[in-house]
Amino acid sequence: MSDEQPKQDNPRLEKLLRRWGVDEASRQTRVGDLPITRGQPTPTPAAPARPAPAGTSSTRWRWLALAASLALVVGVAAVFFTNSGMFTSDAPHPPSDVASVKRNGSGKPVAVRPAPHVTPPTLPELTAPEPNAEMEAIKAQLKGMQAQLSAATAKRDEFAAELGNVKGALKKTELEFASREAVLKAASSLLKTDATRLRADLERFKTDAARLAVEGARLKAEVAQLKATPKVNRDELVKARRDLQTAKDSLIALSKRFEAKERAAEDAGKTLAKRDEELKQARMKLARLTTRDDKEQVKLRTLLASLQKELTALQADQARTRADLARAQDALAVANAKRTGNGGMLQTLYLAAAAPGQTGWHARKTAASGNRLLQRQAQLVKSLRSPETRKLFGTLDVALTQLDMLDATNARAVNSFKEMLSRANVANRLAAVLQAGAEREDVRQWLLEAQLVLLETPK
Amino acid sequence: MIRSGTILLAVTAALLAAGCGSSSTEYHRNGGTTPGAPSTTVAETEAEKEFEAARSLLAELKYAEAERKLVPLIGRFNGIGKTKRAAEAAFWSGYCCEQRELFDDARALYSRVIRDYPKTPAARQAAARLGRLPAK
Repeated sequence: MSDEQPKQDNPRLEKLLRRWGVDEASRQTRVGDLPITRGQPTPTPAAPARPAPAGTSSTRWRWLALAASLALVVGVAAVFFTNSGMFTSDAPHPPSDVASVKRNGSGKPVAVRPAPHVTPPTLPELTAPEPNAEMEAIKAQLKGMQAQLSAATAKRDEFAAELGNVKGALKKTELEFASREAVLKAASSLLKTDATRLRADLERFKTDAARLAVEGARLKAEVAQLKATPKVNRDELVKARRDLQTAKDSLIALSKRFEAKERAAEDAGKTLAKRDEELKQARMKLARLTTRDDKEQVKLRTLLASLQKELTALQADQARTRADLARAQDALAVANAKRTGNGGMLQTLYLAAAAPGQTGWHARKTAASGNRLLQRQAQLVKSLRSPETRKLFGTLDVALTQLDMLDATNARAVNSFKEMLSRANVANRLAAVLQAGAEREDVRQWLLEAQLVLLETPK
Repeated sequence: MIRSGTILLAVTAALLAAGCGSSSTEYHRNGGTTPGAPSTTVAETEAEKEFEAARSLLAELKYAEAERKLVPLIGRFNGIGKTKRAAEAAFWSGYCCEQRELFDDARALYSRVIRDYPKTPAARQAAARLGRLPAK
């Protein structure tokens, strides 16, 4: 088509085209007024299927403007529908017709929706509007459409952004959900393991508790039995010790009295001997003086009588002292017997408590090992105070070790052991150290126990 | 140097004379029956007398003298089949060493008693004493 095309076409055709152009323009005006709704295709005016008629310059511009506006509308619609998800990659595209692709004035291909078949209405013939007014109307329409397009684009961008946000949030939520699910699975697994372990522990605790209850009951019974048994022995032992102490005290007092009487008797004996000597000398003197005068003889006889009187008194005093001495000796013997009896009773109790049901040297061996005398000796030896006790501890260590190895059924071996104790003077040394009281209480206790174990009759 | 060497020799001689240190040798030397020994009863009686004397010395805390009597008795008792007495003699030898603070010798003798005369009272006592000896 050229601007210089002469006006030599069929006037009827030109008239028809003009009328169609008016028709199309009026229709375009109506279409521009319609609102654009999402998801519904905007009715697209059909593009002219034939070339614009050659005519005047205004007619040619009008056609060009129409074509441009149509192309713009179609483009906008296509963009709008594509972005609004009307046509996705999965959805089938509307049929593309090669014939619907036309080239615009600049030679670029323009995708055109297939136009519905338009039947030109049979309208009464109208006079063509003024081209300038049409242009203005089209421009206004174009501006309106551009504004709508801008609004729609903004809306689309807004929706797209919102969609992006929603998708992001969804993805984040999905990730969080997956993470929490994994955590929950792990926790569930752990809880299951813990539950199994706890159940096993519970079972074990139950078993242990039952076993401990049985053990506790058994121990309680044993403790009750043990409490009942040794208490009697302990009480008896305490009483025996008290009696022994009383006997010792009385013995010490008697010993002192005995010593005083002994000293008095000794003094009396000396005095008596002195008087005897004096009497003897007096008799000799009297014999010599028989030839002397009677006066002196009388004096001597008087002196002799007084001496005899004094001698008689002294002899009576001596007899009394001797009687006191005999009584003290008797008391001492009684006290000794009593003490020996107490010691024997204490020993019997000690051996019976340590070796119940045994007698003799078997019981002594069991008592020594049961009361761990050797082990205790090793611990106590560092705390000894006097050298005498230290020596005694050495001897007792040997004696107790020999006792441990002693064949109590062999009378010869037992006698040999007793002889060894006697030779080492163990009994007297033990009594001396115990009476001295210089050692600690636990040492004296150990010595007393050694005495009870080793000596047949403790002193 | 000469003086310290002399002291060392004197100490060694004293130890050997006392028995500790040489006890292991004596122990083996007297382990069997002495050739030309008197009859068992006489030998036993004599050995028992010696043993009694040694035990009395122990009670008097004369450990060196006691050990000199005890060490030969190990072999003599072994020779007449009195292993229990031999164990006791060996144990008391170790005891003498312990009291004289010759702990290595005591340890050796106690160990031999435990090894050679197990299940005897002497072995039990030796084990107890061995446990109470000071660490090396």
